Amino acid sequence: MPEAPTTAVAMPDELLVSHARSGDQAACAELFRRHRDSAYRLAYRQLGNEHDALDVVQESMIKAFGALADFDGRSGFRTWLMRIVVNTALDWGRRRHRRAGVQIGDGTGGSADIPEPADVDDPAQGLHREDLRRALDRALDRLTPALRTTFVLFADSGLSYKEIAETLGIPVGTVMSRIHSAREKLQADLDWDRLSESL
Amino acid sequence: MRCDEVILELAAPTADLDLAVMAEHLAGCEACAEWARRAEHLDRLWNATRPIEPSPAAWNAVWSNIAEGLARREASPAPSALPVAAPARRPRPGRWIAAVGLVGLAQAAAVLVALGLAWRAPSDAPESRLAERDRSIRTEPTAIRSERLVDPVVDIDAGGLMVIHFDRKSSRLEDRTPAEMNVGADIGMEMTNAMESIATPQMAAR
Ligand SMILES: [Zn+2]
Repeated sequence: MPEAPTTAVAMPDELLVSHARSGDQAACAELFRRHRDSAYRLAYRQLGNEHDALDVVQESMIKAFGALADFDGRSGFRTWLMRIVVNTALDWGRRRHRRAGVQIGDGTGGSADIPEPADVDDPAQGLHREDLRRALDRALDRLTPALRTTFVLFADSGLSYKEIAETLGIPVGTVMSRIHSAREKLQADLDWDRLSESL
Repeated sequence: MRCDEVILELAAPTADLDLAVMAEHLAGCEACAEWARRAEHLDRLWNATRPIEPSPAAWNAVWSNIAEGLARREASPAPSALPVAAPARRPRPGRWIAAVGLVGLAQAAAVLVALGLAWRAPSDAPESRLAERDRSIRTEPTAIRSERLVDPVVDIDAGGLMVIHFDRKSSRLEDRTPAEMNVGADIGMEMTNAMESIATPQMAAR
Protein backbone atom coordinates (compact mmCIF):
# COMPACT_ATOMS: atom_id res chain seq x y z
CA MET A 1 0.00 0.00 0.00
CA PRO A 2 1.64 3.24 -1.06
CA GLU A 3 2.41 5.60 1.77
CA ALA A 4 0.30 8.71 1.42
CA PRO A 5 2.28 11.91 1.28
CA THR A 6 2.48 13.46 4.73
CA THR A 7 0.53 16.48 3.51
CA ALA A 8 -2.39 14.17 2.72
CA VAL A 9 -3.23 13.97 6.41
CA ALA A 10 -4.44 17.53 6.32
CA MET A 11 -5.79 17.35 2.80
CA PRO A 12 -9.57 17.50 2.60
CA ASP A 13 -11.39 14.63 0.91
CA GLU A 14 -12.43 16.85 -2.00
CA LEU A 15 -8.82 17.55 -2.90
CA LEU A 16 -7.88 13.89 -2.55
CA VAL A 17 -10.80 13.02 -4.82
CA SER A 18 -9.56 15.37 -7.51
CA HIS A 19 -6.07 13.83 -7.28
CA ALA A 20 -7.59 10.34 -7.34
CA ARG A 21 -9.54 11.24 -10.47
CA SER A 22 -6.32 11.92 -12.27
CA GLY A 23 -5.02 8.49 -11.33
CA ASP A 24 -3.03 9.35 -8.20
CA GLN A 25 -2.87 6.04 -6.33
CA ALA A 26 -1.56 7.59 -3.13
CA ALA A 27 -4.70 9.75 -3.00
CA CYS A 28 -6.88 6.64 -3.43
CA ALA A 29 -4.88 4.93 -0.69
CA GLU A 30 -5.43 7.83 1.66
CA LEU A 31 -9.18 7.90 0.96
CA PHE A 32 -9.25 4.15 1.58
CA ARG A 33 -7.35 4.58 4.85
CA ARG A 34 -9.69 7.33 6.05
CA HIS A 35 -12.96 5.61 5.34
CA ARG A 36 -12.26 1.90 5.53
CA ASP A 37 -13.25 1.58 9.20
CA SER A 38 -16.68 3.19 8.79
CA ALA A 39 -17.25 1.19 5.63
CA TYR A 40 -16.25 -1.99 7.42
CA ARG A 41 -18.49 -1.42 10.45
CA LEU A 42 -21.42 -0.63 8.19
CA ALA A 43 -20.91 -3.76 6.09
CA TYR A 44 -20.30 -5.91 9.15
CA ARG A 45 -23.58 -4.96 10.80
CA GLN A 46 -25.43 -5.59 7.56
CA LEU A 47 -23.86 -8.98 6.90
CA GLY A 48 -23.01 -10.32 10.32
CA ASN A 49 -19.47 -11.53 9.70
CA GLU A 50 -15.97 -10.18 9.16
CA HIS A 51 -15.07 -11.91 5.91
CA ASP A 52 -18.10 -10.73 3.99
CA ALA A 53 -17.65 -7.26 5.46
CA LEU A 54 -14.06 -7.06 4.18
CA ASP A 55 -15.16 -8.33 0.76
CA VAL A 56 -17.85 -5.67 0.63
CA VAL A 57 -15.38 -2.93 1.58
CA GLN A 58 -13.07 -4.13 -1.17
CA GLU A 59 -15.79 -4.26 -3.80
CA SER A 60 -17.23 -0.90 -2.72
CA MET A 61 -13.86 0.84 -2.91
CA ILE A 62 -13.22 -0.55 -6.38
CA LYS A 63 -16.66 0.67 -7.47
CA ALA A 64 -16.11 4.08 -5.89
CA PHE A 65 -12.63 4.69 -7.29
CA GLY A 66 -13.74 3.38 -10.66
CA ALA A 67 -16.71 5.73 -10.75
CA LEU A 68 -15.12 8.92 -9.44
CA ALA A 69 -15.97 10.58 -12.76
CA ASP A 70 -19.65 10.20 -11.78
CA PHE A 71 -19.16 11.67 -8.30
CA ASP A 72 -20.64 15.13 -8.54
CA GLY A 73 -19.45 16.37 -5.16
CA ARG A 74 -22.90 17.53 -4.05
CA SER A 75 -22.55 15.35 -0.99
CA GLY A 76 -19.26 14.50 0.67
CA PHE A 77 -17.13 11.61 -0.58
CA ARG A 78 -17.84 9.75 2.65
CA THR A 79 -21.61 10.02 2.23
CA TRP A 80 -21.30 8.89 -1.39
CA LEU A 81 -19.05 5.98 -0.42
CA MET A 82 -21.43 4.90 2.35
CA ARG A 83 -24.22 4.79 -0.20
CA ILE A 84 -22.15 2.47 -2.35
CA VAL A 85 -21.30 0.31 0.68
CA VAL A 86 -24.98 0.09 1.66
CA ASN A 87 -25.98 -1.04 -1.81
CA THR A 88 -23.08 -3.42 -2.20
CA ALA A 89 -23.86 -5.00 1.17
CA LEU A 90 -27.52 -5.36 0.19
CA ASP A 91 -26.48 -7.06 -3.04
CA TRP A 92 -24.06 -9.25 -1.15
CA GLY A 93 -26.73 -10.16 1.38
CA ARG A 94 -29.04 -11.20 -1.41
CA ARG A 95 -26.34 -13.27 -3.09
CA ARG A 96 -25.40 -15.04 0.11
CA HIS A 97 -27.73 -15.03 3.04
CA ARG A 98 -26.54 -13.30 6.15
CA ARG A 99 -24.44 -15.81 7.98
CA ALA A 100 -25.09 -14.71 11.51
CA GLY A 101 -22.69 -16.08 14.02
CA VAL A 102 -20.20 -17.56 11.61
CA GLN A 103 -17.03 -18.12 13.57
CA ILE A 104 -13.96 -16.21 12.60
CA GLY A 105 -11.71 -18.36 10.45
CA ASP A 106 -14.16 -21.22 10.01
CA GLY A 107 -13.07 -21.57 6.41
CA THR A 108 -16.33 -20.36 4.94
CA GLY A 109 -15.13 -16.85 4.22
CA GLY A 110 -15.05 -15.56 0.70
CA SER A 111 -11.53 -14.11 0.69
CA ALA A 112 -8.97 -16.83 1.01
CA ASP A 113 -6.20 -14.28 0.65
CA ILE A 114 -7.38 -12.02 3.44
CA PRO A 115 -5.80 -12.89 6.78
CA GLU A 116 -7.90 -13.37 9.90
CA PRO A 117 -8.78 -10.29 11.92
CA ALA A 118 -6.34 -9.64 14.72
CA ASP A 119 -6.74 -9.70 18.50
CA VAL A 120 -9.53 -12.22 18.92
CA ASP A 121 -10.86 -12.12 22.47
CA ASP A 122 -9.74 -14.78 24.91
CA PRO A 123 -11.82 -17.98 24.55
CA ALA A 124 -14.12 -17.38 27.51
CA GLN A 125 -14.77 -13.81 26.51
CA GLY A 126 -15.05 -14.77 22.85
CA LEU A 127 -17.82 -17.24 23.59
CA HIS A 128 -19.70 -14.71 25.63
CA ARG A 129 -19.33 -12.05 22.99
CA GLU A 130 -20.38 -14.54 20.31
CA ASP A 131 -23.61 -15.19 22.25
CA LEU A 132 -24.45 -11.52 22.34
CA ARG A 133 -23.60 -11.14 18.69
CA ARG A 134 -25.89 -13.98 17.69
CA ALA A 135 -28.76 -12.52 19.66
CA LEU A 136 -28.30 -9.10 18.08
CA ASP A 137 -27.78 -10.59 14.61
CA ARG A 138 -31.02 -12.51 14.83
CA ALA A 139 -32.88 -9.38 15.86
CA LEU A 140 -31.23 -7.32 13.09
CA ASP A 141 -32.14 -10.03 10.61
CA ARG A 142 -35.80 -9.62 11.43
CA LEU A 143 -35.75 -5.94 10.47
CA THR A 144 -36.53 -4.94 6.91
CA PRO A 145 -33.39 -3.97 4.96
CA ALA A 146 -34.52 -0.34 4.95
CA LEU A 147 -34.86 -0.21 8.74
CA ARG A 148 -31.68 -2.18 9.33
CA THR A 149 -29.62 -0.03 6.99
CA THR A 150 -30.91 3.22 8.46
CA PHE A 151 -30.34 2.09 12.02
CA VAL A 152 -26.82 0.84 11.29
CA LEU A 153 -25.92 4.11 9.58
CA PHE A 154 -27.24 5.95 12.62
CA ALA A 155 -25.46 3.75 15.14
CA ASP A 156 -22.13 3.09 13.45
CA SER A 157 -21.28 5.42 10.59
CA GLY A 158 -20.87 8.69 12.45
CA LEU A 159 -22.98 10.38 9.77
CA SER A 160 -25.42 13.13 10.76
CA TYR A 161 -29.15 12.63 10.21
CA LYS A 162 -28.88 14.85 7.14
CA GLU A 163 -26.00 12.81 5.74
CA ILE A 164 -27.89 9.57 6.37
CA ALA A 165 -30.84 11.09 4.51
CA GLU A 166 -28.51 11.95 1.58
CA THR A 167 -26.96 8.49 1.67
CA LEU A 168 -30.32 6.77 1.41
CA GLY A 169 -32.07 9.37 -0.73
CA ILE A 170 -34.88 9.90 1.77
CA PRO A 171 -36.12 12.86 3.83
CA VAL A 172 -34.59 13.48 7.26
CA GLY A 173 -38.01 12.88 8.84
CA THR A 174 -38.07 9.38 7.35
CA VAL A 175 -34.59 8.73 8.76
CA MET A 176 -35.84 9.66 12.23
CA SER A 177 -38.98 7.56 11.95
CA ARG A 178 -36.99 4.55 10.68
CA ILE A 179 -34.54 4.81 13.56
CA HIS A 180 -37.45 4.96 15.95
CA SER A 181 -39.16 1.93 14.37
CA ALA A 182 -35.93 -0.06 14.26
CA ARG A 183 -35.26 0.63 17.94
CA GLU A 184 -38.81 -0.22 18.85
CA LYS A 185 -38.54 -3.59 17.07
CA LEU A 186 -35.05 -4.43 18.32
CA GLN A 187 -35.92 -3.53 21.88
CA ALA A 188 -39.11 -5.57 21.75
CA ASP A 189 -37.42 -8.55 20.07
CA LEU A 190 -34.45 -9.08 22.31
CA ASP A 191 -34.69 -11.18 25.44
CA TRP A 192 -33.50 -8.63 27.96
CA ASP A 193 -34.03 -10.85 30.98
CA ARG A 194 -31.32 -13.12 29.63
CA LEU A 195 -29.12 -10.52 27.95
CA SER A 196 -29.04 -7.78 30.55
CA GLU A 197 -27.10 -10.01 32.96
CA SER A 198 -24.26 -10.16 30.46
CA LEU A 199 -24.21 -6.48 29.66
CA MET B 1 -44.10 17.13 27.53
CA ARG B 2 -45.82 14.25 25.77
CA CYS B 3 -44.68 10.62 25.94
CA ASP B 4 -44.23 10.40 22.15
CA GLU B 5 -41.89 13.39 22.19
CA VAL B 6 -39.82 11.80 24.94
CA ILE B 7 -39.61 8.47 23.12
CA LEU B 8 -38.65 10.10 19.83
CA GLU B 9 -35.87 11.95 21.59
CA LEU B 10 -34.71 8.74 23.27
CA ALA B 11 -34.75 6.88 19.95
CA ALA B 12 -33.01 9.50 17.81
CA PRO B 13 -31.55 12.22 20.02
CA THR B 14 -31.58 15.75 18.68
CA ALA B 15 -30.61 17.59 21.87
CA ASP B 16 -33.63 19.80 21.24
CA LEU B 17 -35.34 18.69 24.41
CA ASP B 18 -34.29 19.99 27.78
CA LEU B 19 -32.57 17.18 29.68
CA ALA B 20 -34.00 18.31 33.00
CA VAL B 21 -37.52 18.24 31.60
CA MET B 22 -36.84 14.79 30.12
CA ALA B 23 -35.56 13.51 33.44
CA GLU B 24 -38.57 14.87 35.23
CA HIS B 25 -40.88 13.13 32.76
CA LEU B 26 -38.99 9.84 33.08
CA ALA B 27 -39.17 10.02 36.86
CA GLY B 28 -42.93 10.24 36.71
CA CYS B 29 -43.76 8.01 33.72
CA GLU B 30 -43.11 4.29 34.09
CA ALA B 31 -43.79 3.53 30.42
CA CYS B 32 -41.20 6.01 29.15
CA ALA B 33 -38.76 4.98 31.88
CA GLU B 34 -39.04 1.36 30.74
CA TRP B 35 -38.47 2.45 27.13
CA ALA B 36 -35.38 4.37 28.24
CA ARG B 37 -34.03 1.31 30.09
CA ARG B 38 -34.41 -0.86 27.02
CA ALA B 39 -32.83 1.78 24.81
CA GLU B 40 -29.86 1.86 27.16
CA HIS B 41 -29.61 -1.93 27.09
CA LEU B 42 -29.67 -1.89 23.30
CA ASP B 43 -26.88 0.70 23.26
CA ARG B 44 -24.81 -1.46 25.58
CA LEU B 45 -25.46 -4.56 23.51
CA TRP B 46 -24.48 -2.65 20.37
CA ASN B 47 -21.21 -1.51 21.95
CA ALA B 48 -20.44 -4.97 23.32
CA THR B 49 -20.75 -6.49 19.85
CA ARG B 50 -18.66 -4.04 17.85
CA PRO B 51 -16.75 -5.94 15.19
CA ILE B 52 -13.15 -6.86 15.83
CA GLU B 53 -11.00 -4.46 13.88
CA PRO B 54 -9.20 -6.10 10.98
CA SER B 55 -5.44 -6.34 11.40
CA PRO B 56 -3.08 -4.09 9.40
CA ALA B 57 -2.17 -7.20 7.37
CA ALA B 58 -5.85 -7.73 6.51
CA TRP B 59 -6.20 -4.11 5.40
CA ASN B 60 -3.04 -4.35 3.33
CA ALA B 61 -4.43 -7.41 1.59
CA VAL B 62 -7.69 -5.60 0.90
CA TRP B 63 -5.80 -2.61 -0.47
CA SER B 64 -3.68 -4.84 -2.73
CA ASN B 65 -6.85 -6.34 -4.17
CA ILE B 66 -8.34 -2.88 -4.69
CA ALA B 67 -5.19 -1.60 -6.42
CA GLU B 68 -5.08 -4.71 -8.58
CA GLY B 69 -8.76 -4.34 -9.40
CA LEU B 70 -8.28 -0.73 -10.42
CA ALA B 71 -5.24 -1.58 -12.53
CA ARG B 72 -7.13 -4.34 -14.33
CA ARG B 73 -10.06 -2.04 -14.77
CA GLU B 74 -7.85 0.54 -16.44
CA ALA B 75 -6.33 -2.10 -18.67
CA SER B 76 -9.71 -3.53 -19.59
CA PRO B 77 -12.88 -1.75 -18.54
CA ALA B 78 -14.99 -4.92 -18.84
CA PRO B 79 -16.54 -5.77 -15.48
CA SER B 80 -15.41 -9.37 -15.80
CA ALA B 81 -11.81 -8.18 -15.44
CA LEU B 82 -12.47 -7.21 -11.82
CA PRO B 83 -11.23 -9.51 -9.09
CA VAL B 84 -14.64 -9.38 -7.43
CA ALA B 85 -17.82 -10.91 -8.65
CA ALA B 86 -20.12 -7.98 -9.20
CA PRO B 87 -19.93 -5.39 -11.94
CA ALA B 88 -19.70 -1.76 -10.90
CA ARG B 89 -23.20 -1.08 -12.10
CA ARG B 90 -25.96 -3.52 -11.53
CA PRO B 91 -28.19 -3.98 -14.52
CA ARG B 92 -31.44 -2.18 -13.94
CA PRO B 93 -34.82 -3.43 -14.91
CA GLY B 94 -35.71 -1.62 -18.10
CA ARG B 95 -39.36 -1.70 -17.52
CA TRP B 96 -41.49 -1.72 -14.44
CA ILE B 97 -45.02 -2.44 -13.74
CA ALA B 98 -46.28 -0.80 -10.64
CA ALA B 99 -49.56 -2.17 -9.59
CA VAL B 100 -50.74 0.53 -7.34
CA GLY B 101 -53.47 -0.90 -5.25
CA LEU B 102 -56.03 1.38 -4.36
CA VAL B 103 -56.45 4.68 -3.05
CA GLY B 104 -59.96 5.25 -2.06
CA LEU B 105 -60.68 8.74 -0.96
CA ALA B 106 -63.93 9.52 0.70
CA GLN B 107 -62.86 13.12 0.77
CA ALA B 108 -59.88 14.85 -0.71
CA ALA B 109 -58.26 15.34 2.68
CA ALA B 110 -58.94 11.89 4.01
CA VAL B 111 -56.22 9.64 2.75
CA LEU B 112 -56.45 5.94 3.23
CA VAL B 113 -53.90 4.20 1.17
CA ALA B 114 -53.21 0.61 0.56
CA LEU B 115 -50.28 0.19 -1.72
CA GLY B 116 -48.83 -2.82 -3.35
CA LEU B 117 -45.96 -2.68 -5.76
CA ALA B 118 -45.25 -5.45 -8.13
CA TRP B 119 -42.04 -5.31 -10.03
CA ARG B 120 -41.51 -7.18 -13.21
CA ALA B 121 -37.86 -7.66 -13.84
CA PRO B 122 -36.41 -8.16 -17.30
CA SER B 123 -37.09 -11.55 -18.80
CA ASP B 124 -33.63 -12.89 -18.00
CA ALA B 125 -33.92 -12.10 -14.31
CA PRO B 126 -36.00 -13.89 -11.72
CA GLU B 127 -39.28 -12.30 -10.88
CA SER B 128 -39.00 -10.02 -7.92
CA ARG B 129 -41.59 -8.49 -5.74
CA LEU B 130 -41.45 -5.88 -3.10
CA ALA B 131 -43.54 -7.68 -0.59
CA GLU B 132 -44.48 -6.44 2.86
CA ARG B 133 -45.19 -3.07 1.37
CA ASP B 134 -48.87 -3.26 2.09
CA ARG B 135 -49.54 -0.49 4.44
CA SER B 136 -52.24 1.88 5.23
CA ILE B 137 -52.11 5.31 6.64
CA ARG B 138 -54.92 7.29 7.99
CA THR B 139 -54.37 10.97 8.36
CA GLU B 140 -57.85 11.56 9.68
CA PRO B 141 -58.98 9.19 12.38
CA THR B 142 -62.59 9.59 11.37
CA ALA B 143 -62.01 8.86 7.71
CA ILE B 144 -64.33 6.20 6.42
CA ARG B 145 -62.68 3.70 4.16
CA SER B 146 -64.38 3.67 0.84
CA GLU B 147 -64.75 0.53 -1.18
CA ARG B 148 -62.13 -0.55 -3.69
CA LEU B 149 -62.94 1.10 -6.92
CA VAL B 150 -60.49 -0.26 -9.41
CA ASP B 151 -57.07 -1.85 -9.53
CA PRO B 152 -55.06 0.33 -11.84
CA VAL B 153 -51.87 -0.93 -13.42
CA VAL B 154 -49.37 1.72 -14.26
CA ASP B 155 -46.74 0.85 -16.79
CA ILE B 156 -43.59 2.77 -16.07
CA ASP B 157 -40.39 3.02 -18.05
CA ALA B 158 -36.98 3.04 -16.43
CA GLY B 159 -37.99 2.57 -12.85
CA GLY B 160 -40.55 5.26 -12.19
CA LEU B 161 -43.25 5.10 -9.58
CA MET B 162 -46.65 6.66 -10.07
CA VAL B 163 -49.40 6.75 -7.51
CA ILE B 164 -52.99 7.15 -8.57
CA HIS B 165 -55.35 8.80 -6.12
CA PHE B 166 -59.00 8.14 -6.70
CA ASP B 167 -62.08 9.63 -5.33
CA ARG B 168 -65.59 8.90 -6.49
CA LYS B 169 -65.53 11.45 -9.25
CA SER B 170 -62.00 11.84 -10.46
CA SER B 171 -58.48 10.54 -10.31
CA ARG B 172 -55.14 12.24 -9.93
CA LEU B 173 -51.77 10.94 -11.04
CA GLU B 174 -48.78 11.69 -8.89
CA ASP B 175 -45.19 11.06 -9.91
CA ARG B 176 -43.28 9.65 -6.93
CA THR B 177 -40.23 8.54 -8.84
CA PRO B 178 -37.11 8.93 -6.69
CA ALA B 179 -35.39 12.15 -7.66
CA GLU B 180 -32.09 10.57 -8.50
CA MET B 181 -30.52 7.19 -8.82
CA ASN B 182 -26.82 7.48 -8.35
CA VAL B 183 -23.99 5.13 -9.07
CA GLY B 184 -24.33 2.15 -6.84
CA ALA B 185 -27.99 2.90 -6.30
CA ASP B 186 -30.04 -0.15 -5.56
CA ILE B 187 -33.29 -0.25 -7.42
CA GLY B 188 -35.08 -2.26 -4.75
CA MET B 189 -33.93 0.13 -2.05
CA GLU B 190 -34.89 3.17 -4.12
CA MET B 191 -38.38 1.81 -4.57
CA THR B 192 -38.64 0.80 -0.92
CA ASN B 193 -37.65 4.32 0.02
CA ALA B 194 -40.14 5.80 -2.39
CA MET B 195 -42.94 3.58 -1.13
CA GLU B 196 -42.03 4.23 2.45
CA SER B 197 -41.98 7.98 2.00
CA ILE B 198 -45.48 7.70 0.61
CA ALA B 199 -46.78 5.37 3.28
CA THR B 200 -44.94 6.66 6.35
CA PRO B 201 -46.14 9.78 8.08
CA GLN B 202 -43.19 12.14 8.10
CA MET B 203 -41.79 13.35 11.34
CA ALA B 204 -40.77 16.94 11.43
CA ALA B 205 -37.06 17.28 10.74
CA ARG B 206 -35.52 19.02 13.68
ZN1 LIG C 1 -44.16 9.13 29.21
